Amino acid sequence: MKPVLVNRLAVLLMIQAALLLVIGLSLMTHNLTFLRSWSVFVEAFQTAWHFLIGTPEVVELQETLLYDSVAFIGLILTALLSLLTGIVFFRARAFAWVLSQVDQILTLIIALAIYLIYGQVQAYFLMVIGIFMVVFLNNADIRVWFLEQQNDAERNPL
Amino acid sequence: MKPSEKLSLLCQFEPILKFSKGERFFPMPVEDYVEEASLWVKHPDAPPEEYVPEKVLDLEKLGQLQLSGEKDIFYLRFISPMNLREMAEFRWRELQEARKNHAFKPLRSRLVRVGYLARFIDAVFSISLLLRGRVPGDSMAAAVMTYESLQQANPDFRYYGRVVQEAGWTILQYWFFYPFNNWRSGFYGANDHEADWEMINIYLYPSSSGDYQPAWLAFASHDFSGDDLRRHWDDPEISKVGTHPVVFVAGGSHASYFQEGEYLTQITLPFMTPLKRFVRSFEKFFGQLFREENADTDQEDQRINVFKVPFVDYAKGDGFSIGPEGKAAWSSPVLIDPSQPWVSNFRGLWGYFAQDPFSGEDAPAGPMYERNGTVRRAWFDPLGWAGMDKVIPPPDRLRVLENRIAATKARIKGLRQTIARLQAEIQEASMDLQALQDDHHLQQAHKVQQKKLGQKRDTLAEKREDLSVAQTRLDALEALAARGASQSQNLRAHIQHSHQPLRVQPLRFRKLAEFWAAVSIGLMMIAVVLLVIFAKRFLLAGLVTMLLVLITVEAGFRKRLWSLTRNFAILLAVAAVLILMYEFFWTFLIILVMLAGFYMIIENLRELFTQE
Repeated sequence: MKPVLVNRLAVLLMIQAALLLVIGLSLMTHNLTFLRSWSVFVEAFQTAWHFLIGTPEVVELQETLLYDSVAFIGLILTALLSLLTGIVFFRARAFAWVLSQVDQILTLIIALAIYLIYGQVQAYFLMVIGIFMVVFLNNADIRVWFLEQQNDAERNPL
Repeated sequence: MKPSEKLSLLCQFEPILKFSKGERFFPMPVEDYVEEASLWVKHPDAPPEEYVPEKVLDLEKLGQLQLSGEKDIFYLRFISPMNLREMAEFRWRELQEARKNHAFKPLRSRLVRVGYLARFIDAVFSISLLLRGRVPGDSMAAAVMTYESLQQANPDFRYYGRVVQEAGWTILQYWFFYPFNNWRSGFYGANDHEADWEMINIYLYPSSSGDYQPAWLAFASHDFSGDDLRRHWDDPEISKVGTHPVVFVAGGSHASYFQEGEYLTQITLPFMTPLKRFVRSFEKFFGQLFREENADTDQEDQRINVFKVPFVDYAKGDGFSIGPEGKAAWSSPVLIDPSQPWVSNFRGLWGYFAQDPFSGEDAPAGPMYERNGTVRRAWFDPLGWAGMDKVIPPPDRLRVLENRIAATKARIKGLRQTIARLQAEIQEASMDLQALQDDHHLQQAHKVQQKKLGQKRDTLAEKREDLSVAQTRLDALEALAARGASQSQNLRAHIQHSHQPLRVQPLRFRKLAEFWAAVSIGLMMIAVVLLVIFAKRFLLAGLVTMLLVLITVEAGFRKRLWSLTRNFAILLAVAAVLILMYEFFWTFLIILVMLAGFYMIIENLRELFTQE
């Protein structure tokens, strides 16, 4: 029987996706304007995006902006992966467990990179999310259940 | 025991040696070897000098030589360097042999069996051979040619026997002398050296009918000693033909094994020990944290240790064999003992002294001695060498058991008497104490009496504990007597780490994996150099990327991507925790203390409100 924790983890992965998106956006716009005013945020984001696309030579010169942009793209991709993993988790596929570990690896690598390269405060939030999810994913019940799923799949591939 | 009786016993239990395909050297008479050899001496800080030229020595002269010099090392040299024509002839013949499928082929490449770190350490070990002393490259070829010419002139497969009687056991020692150990050059092993002395022991006890019954076997394997070397005669792991045990001899190294197979032999490098300890603690901690099975066990023997240099002993038993029902028979055995001067008087090495600091490439000394001239433990203590000193011969077991039961009963009787006496004394002292306690002016005497009483009570408690232990021991001894003293409980209880043949691990794309194992470390080293020359700026990033690629490819081949991703995620999480603790130490501490405070309040309040 599927442990309750598996469903909870699926929900947590969805929440992680949302959080990564929020942190990515905050990196890109350097504030959380979307929490106060959506229109102000959209304007700030558009400005940042156009700056990133329109003036790559300037971005290249401004290292912080470059790193923000790369981290933003990385976080958006990781958020998408979290979302996908969350959905696969609901369907209780063994593969989801490995995918979610990869998701945490990406989250933590981005966090460590942000911290080591230019020390933005968002790195700490990402670290907390990553640590929490790694501990949750390695819960004995969850791990054993997914290992059993994997063994079943290997025994009966069809 | 008369020499004829000793020889008869040796022949009755003489082993069958089964070699791996590709083995070139077999047990031979030492006199043929010595007559072919020259004797050399190495003085400190001076080049070696020839002491006696070749074809002059024989066993008698070797035993009579008065070799002195505190720091001089005397050694025999079996082979002389080959010229180019001889070398070419030898290589051509080897190729022909390989075509006829007589050559050695491993089941699986050695390096693919181990991890990348072990492979890297192996590369360092191999490179170190260039700096360390080693047996010259053509030695194996020259030894093969000399040995074969000797065998053609006088085909003779011989063992040397020694019979020792000690503590109720009769020990048959079978010594085998090989002219050369070509483990490195012939079987991708750790070392080559001239001369190789190997040995097995069979432990017999006298039966009631007057003959000797075999009980235990111990096979020498590299420099190991202790309980793990021996097996009971009835152990299913032992192969036998009648009264003759089968020894599976490892290719080149000539180590002896009970079962056919490929054995991983790992050489520890001392400087890796602290790192190994750290990684084991790390694994143990997370194993316990995430409640993994076997988190506490040290699975050294079940897995490859990445901190040791891995070598494989190929004891496949698919080649030549010597002994009863073998492809060749033993010639008449020769008894050896310290009365023979060549055994006891010559403490030098029996082959080339390579001056290797690890000693692996230096030849061994004779059957009686270690390389440093001290007497081998297997020689002076054949019982203790295999942990047999604590094993009682079956005919003596009943007597020893009865003695122990009698002694334990006597001990129990004595303890009971002591306890009864102490008990009475304590009661008397207690009465005195009661009498003293109410009078104020007797308080000092009361204190002294109280102290004495306390001491007596402690002694009584100790004696009661001793009695309890003795009683338990007596019950166990009587239970053993009831089962039958001569009956052994578990034939394998003494084995702590049984050296088992390697299991073939599942491997994806085997050929590709073997190719990768062979080239990966070398490629990585070249890539590092290229990075340093052409892209120094990206050295760190390049190194990390290469390492990740290496680890991922390995895990893919070994079907371990699952655990790799998990371990990597844990490692990153640990790094993140450390950073957070470093950055927010005081915040962490405050939160921790507050949480502990809240927890205590909640727990205490819960207890309070559950009271009636």
